[in-house]
Amino acid sequence: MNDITGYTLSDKSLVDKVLRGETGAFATIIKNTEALTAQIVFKMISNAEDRKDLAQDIYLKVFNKLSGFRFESKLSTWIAQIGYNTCLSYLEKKKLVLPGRFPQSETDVLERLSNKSNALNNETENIISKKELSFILSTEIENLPPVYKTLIALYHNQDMSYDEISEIVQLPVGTVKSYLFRARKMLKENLLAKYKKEEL
Amino acid sequence: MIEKHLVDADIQQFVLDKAGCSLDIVAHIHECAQCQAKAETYKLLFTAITEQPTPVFDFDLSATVLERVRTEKPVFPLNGIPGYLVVFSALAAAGIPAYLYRLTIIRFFKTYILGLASGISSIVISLVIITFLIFLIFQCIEMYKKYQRKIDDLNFY
Repeated sequence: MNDITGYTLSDKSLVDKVLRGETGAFATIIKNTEALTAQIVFKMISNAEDRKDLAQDIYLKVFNKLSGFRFESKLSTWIAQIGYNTCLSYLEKKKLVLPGRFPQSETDVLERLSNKSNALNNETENIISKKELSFILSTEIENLPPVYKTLIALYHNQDMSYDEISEIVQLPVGTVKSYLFRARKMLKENLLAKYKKEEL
Repeated sequence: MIEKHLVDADIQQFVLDKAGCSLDIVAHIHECAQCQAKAETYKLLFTAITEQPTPVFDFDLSATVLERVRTEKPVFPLNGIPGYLVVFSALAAAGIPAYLYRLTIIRFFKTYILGLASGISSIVISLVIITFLIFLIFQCIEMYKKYQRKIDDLNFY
């Protein structure tokens, strides 16, 4: 790996192969970066059909722009940046940047939680509790603004550094840190406000 | 040791990177039950976030994309040709005729363009420049407003 830019030799050879016309190498690039792209697309876009179209559009853009990739960053970071920009343009076009609320499912969660006893005595109940917590958390994450959701996913689920995230979302590192801090705080406060702290 | 309760940013920092925290913050959290509880909540929250299921596309992305790559033509017909070659070609296409007809072009400018300007009073020229500058300022303001609207749309709080 190049210490300065972070790209790997396999990135370089894969790109060279694609540019020479080996489309099979592009399949490898997709497989290597699909998880990261999925995180971004799922966090930014709530409609499943749109996600499908956007994911394809992202990789078509990557394919068409690949000759312009200068190895100044990791290939995955560059692809994630294209993915983020594509999703952001889509949201701006559709005026869908504000987080979608799902009152029905949220009510369900609240009802289920209020019916549930605080004392969880046996292991089965603990497993159910863990599953519910996971569901509650994903519902609350879903209610965050798309950019916040994406930042949380990139930092906590993709283990990316602030610098890498900053490159993807094209915001200064300080801004990324500040948004991440606000996103976590918002998430914690929303959870605590809606559910008992013990449920965490 | 810090006497007041820590702000959330410090507690988050403590949970995520204890080693990077100042000794004052670490000492406060060890002593203060309230901040300790907050740190514990964040710890639980972060663990729960990392345990969230990873999203996966419910279709074969690489097969679908490769199919489209094979069937669709490239968006930009000059794709694959190095950028410098395109710029060089464009410059050559404009530059060679300009060089060959340089005398005619110079004569044209001297006769018509400069001649045109010489007939206009300095007040009119100043007016044109001022109008252009005002137009430019309004354009900049409009662009800034548009940018602000987009930032507001993003709802960054």
